[in-house]
Amino acid sequence: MPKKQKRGKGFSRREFLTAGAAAAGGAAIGGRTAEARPAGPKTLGPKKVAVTLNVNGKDRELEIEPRVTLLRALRNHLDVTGPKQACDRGACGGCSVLVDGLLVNACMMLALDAVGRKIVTPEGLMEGDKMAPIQEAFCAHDALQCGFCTPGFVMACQWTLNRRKSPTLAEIKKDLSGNICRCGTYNRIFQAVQTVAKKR
Amino acid sequence: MGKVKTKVGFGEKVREIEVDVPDGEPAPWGADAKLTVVGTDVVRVDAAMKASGRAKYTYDINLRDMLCALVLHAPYGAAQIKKLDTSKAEKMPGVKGVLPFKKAGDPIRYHGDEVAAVAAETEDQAEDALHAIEVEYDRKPVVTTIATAMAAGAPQVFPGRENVRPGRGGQPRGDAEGAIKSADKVVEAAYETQVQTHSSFEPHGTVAKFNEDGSLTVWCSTQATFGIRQQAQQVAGRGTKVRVFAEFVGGGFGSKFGLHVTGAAAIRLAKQTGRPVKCMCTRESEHTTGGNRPSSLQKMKAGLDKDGQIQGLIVETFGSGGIGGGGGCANPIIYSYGAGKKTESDVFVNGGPAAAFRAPGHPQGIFALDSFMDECAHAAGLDPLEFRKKHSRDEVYRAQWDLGAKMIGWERRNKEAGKGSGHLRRGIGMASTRWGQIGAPGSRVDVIIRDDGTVEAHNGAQDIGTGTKTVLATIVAEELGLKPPQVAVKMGDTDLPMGPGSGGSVTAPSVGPAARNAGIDAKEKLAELAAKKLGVEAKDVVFADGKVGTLKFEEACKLIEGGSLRGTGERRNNYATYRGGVAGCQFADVEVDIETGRIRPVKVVAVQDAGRVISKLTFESQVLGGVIQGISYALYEDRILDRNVGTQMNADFLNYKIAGPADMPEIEVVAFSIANAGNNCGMAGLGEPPTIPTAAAIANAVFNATGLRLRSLPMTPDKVLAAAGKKEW
Repeated sequence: MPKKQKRGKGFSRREFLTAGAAAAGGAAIGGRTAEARPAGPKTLGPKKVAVTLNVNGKDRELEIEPRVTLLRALRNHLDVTGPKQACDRGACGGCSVLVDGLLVNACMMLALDAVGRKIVTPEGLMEGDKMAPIQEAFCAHDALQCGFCTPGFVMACQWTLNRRKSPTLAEIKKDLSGNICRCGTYNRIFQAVQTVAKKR
Repeated sequence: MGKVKTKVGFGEKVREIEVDVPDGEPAPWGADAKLTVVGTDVVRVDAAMKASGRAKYTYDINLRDMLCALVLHAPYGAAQIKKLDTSKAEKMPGVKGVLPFKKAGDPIRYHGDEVAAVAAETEDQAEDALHAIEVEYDRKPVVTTIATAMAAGAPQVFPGRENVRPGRGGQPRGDAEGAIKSADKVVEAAYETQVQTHSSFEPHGTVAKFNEDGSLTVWCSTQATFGIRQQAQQVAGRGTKVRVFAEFVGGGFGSKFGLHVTGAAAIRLAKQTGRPVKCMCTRESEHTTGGNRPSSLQKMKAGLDKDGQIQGLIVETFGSGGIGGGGGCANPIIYSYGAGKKTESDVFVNGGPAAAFRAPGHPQGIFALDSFMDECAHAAGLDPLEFRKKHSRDEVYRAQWDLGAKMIGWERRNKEAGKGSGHLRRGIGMASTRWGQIGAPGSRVDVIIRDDGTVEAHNGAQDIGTGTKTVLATIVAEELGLKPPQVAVKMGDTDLPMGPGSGGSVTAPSVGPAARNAGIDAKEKLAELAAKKLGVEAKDVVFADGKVGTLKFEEACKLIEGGSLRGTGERRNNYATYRGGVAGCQFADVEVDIETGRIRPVKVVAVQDAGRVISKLTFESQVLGGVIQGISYALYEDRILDRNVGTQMNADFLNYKIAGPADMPEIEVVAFSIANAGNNCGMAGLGEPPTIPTAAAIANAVFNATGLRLRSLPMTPDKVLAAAGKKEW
């Protein structure tokens, strides 16, 4: 799945105890990090650290253990519940968010690695109560049923529309291949993307 | 109301019948009913909430001081617990409550059996605490498939009980053995289907909160709010007042009728800790404990006369719902087959218990039956569609078959199966579906019209993604002469009027007719007020185009005293109907790569009736979803248990394959609307039937493309290649 890249040299979920803080992340983490070891990379945790995440244009401060994923930071600490925890292993795309414009599975990224970056969730595509064109197209085409995968698909579709001017059906299918819908709405999601691409 | 004449049927096949309409019911919408919004492309009323990410599902409920609970599940298919020690877990950081479900000596019969639960301040701390629970297992031999469970000397899933519970089945009809013995041709085949897990995108789970007055509030990802209220009461203690919310539910497909261990854990830990508790399944435990579609082995034998008419049919099925029952296969239905006999047996294996899964028994049953019909047609040298017409006189089927055949281009199919050249082979196949539900009494809907012109429709049942809220809004809007978005629908709250559990495709046809009655009741009350103002008779006040008589709807609402008026409607019994159930068929055009074994569906046409179509968009979505789940069942999904220890090897979304965007063919859906006069809206069940025939249609298309008869689901490349290797090309 080429689209779900993890940027930077930061923490992976399994490696956080030993990994060094990424330059971008470390700078913004603030003063409560564990003491630096003279001979090795700086180690954080397991105690909570104060971080600031830029979510949907707003800086949000929170205290989390360094192991906390971006998804859990959003959902459990900031009550931003658009991104869903459906598989927690990067296999379904239910937690898709944009991080500095790149499509990311928020369950596969540590919150610390998102520090200093712009995180956008489906809530953040809205302008007040006005939905983004892709969200409106989802409604018009009924490209959703139970709706639990929808926020993730909306982000994946937005990412496709951001990077391709007029995506072909094959390109749309490829770009969305990191996402699963259990109710079976795919074909209407393709239509929603095509409608938005055509209209702009 | 008494006897009423009404027109029923579809297309050109419309006729007038007389139905006995209960008192207080309006005449049913006949085939000639002039309707404004019913049957149109109504935008799903909660679509914006979902697309914006603002919809709050159970999983999204965050309460002040809420704890996160997780359940520890046994990792083996069969074992005895030697030791269970939670003392270390209790001392872990953030842990506030521990709840053992088992004790030393207790048996484990499937991977996923619950062992204990913990509640901690955060999800990560709860995970740590699960790891700190010490359990020692004494592993026992397992059986993981129907074949191994039936073998002589197989380990017993329940010691002292046979693994096979044999021989239930309906009354035999005539002498099937005799008919087969004297037949011109005998066809015999056995089919196998796999275990499919529901894999609802939102896993099972519950948030439980005890309030200061001792009452319990529950948010539950469920398809039966009122059933959950009762079950939660049993766990919380008799006399506890319980209110259940399920405003948004991330799918259910039959698996979410019960409180599940997560619900029991949430309530008990909330009681234990005095704090609100959220307990959700992980994806792994959703696979192992969330329910599944039983596997099956189906043996079929038919005798055909020289004209290719089936004179006798014998069906013997075995189904395994793991440690649960309910493994029966729904066949033979749909076709006429002369004399018949069927037995079905449940087989226990060390797997998680089955749960109702979108048309229980039907997708597996129809995979076998409609594959077998194709095999019989081939044996008789007849076109598969002509062969089916010989075995059904049903006018709806015949119309649907003709329509589907035209849309897929049936004449393009290989006249001789497997004829062609190159490594890519194309073929076309079809199969049919039937479902028997048109809803039932027991529901009530309230319609509230306020003096500010707003309208609400209330029912306490849940919309699990099927579009029930939209159906209610559409029906109430039709009666009040409004547009559906003007009717705000509240569902998923047990303080609202009673509604059904979403099983058997009954929700919409049970609640919809009650909504119509409620809309009419509210309308009549508002008409009285408007009539007084306008100086006309109430019965002459017409509700249309946002107007009440000559008044604007909002102006009429200003006449309401006391803030609001309430119309109420009960769901009454079904009437004698044109057609008791619903019918559908699907045609598949597939491409098979005989070198890689890959089957690629190119196009599927799905023709489906569900009585009257209320909301066309959501109707089509339901059918589309049924087809896509059917493709997934046909080609990809398979719960794999390790044969030595019974552990599910693919309890995730990486290795348990669900059809994804790249697997999608073109899918054409025909909403085949029928006026059936079975209830005041003529509605029937839709959720389940469209997922039934897909696998059989694809299998039949594969045969037409390659001449290979695949009798085992899922039809993965290894099975295609194994079959291809035995054929002369």
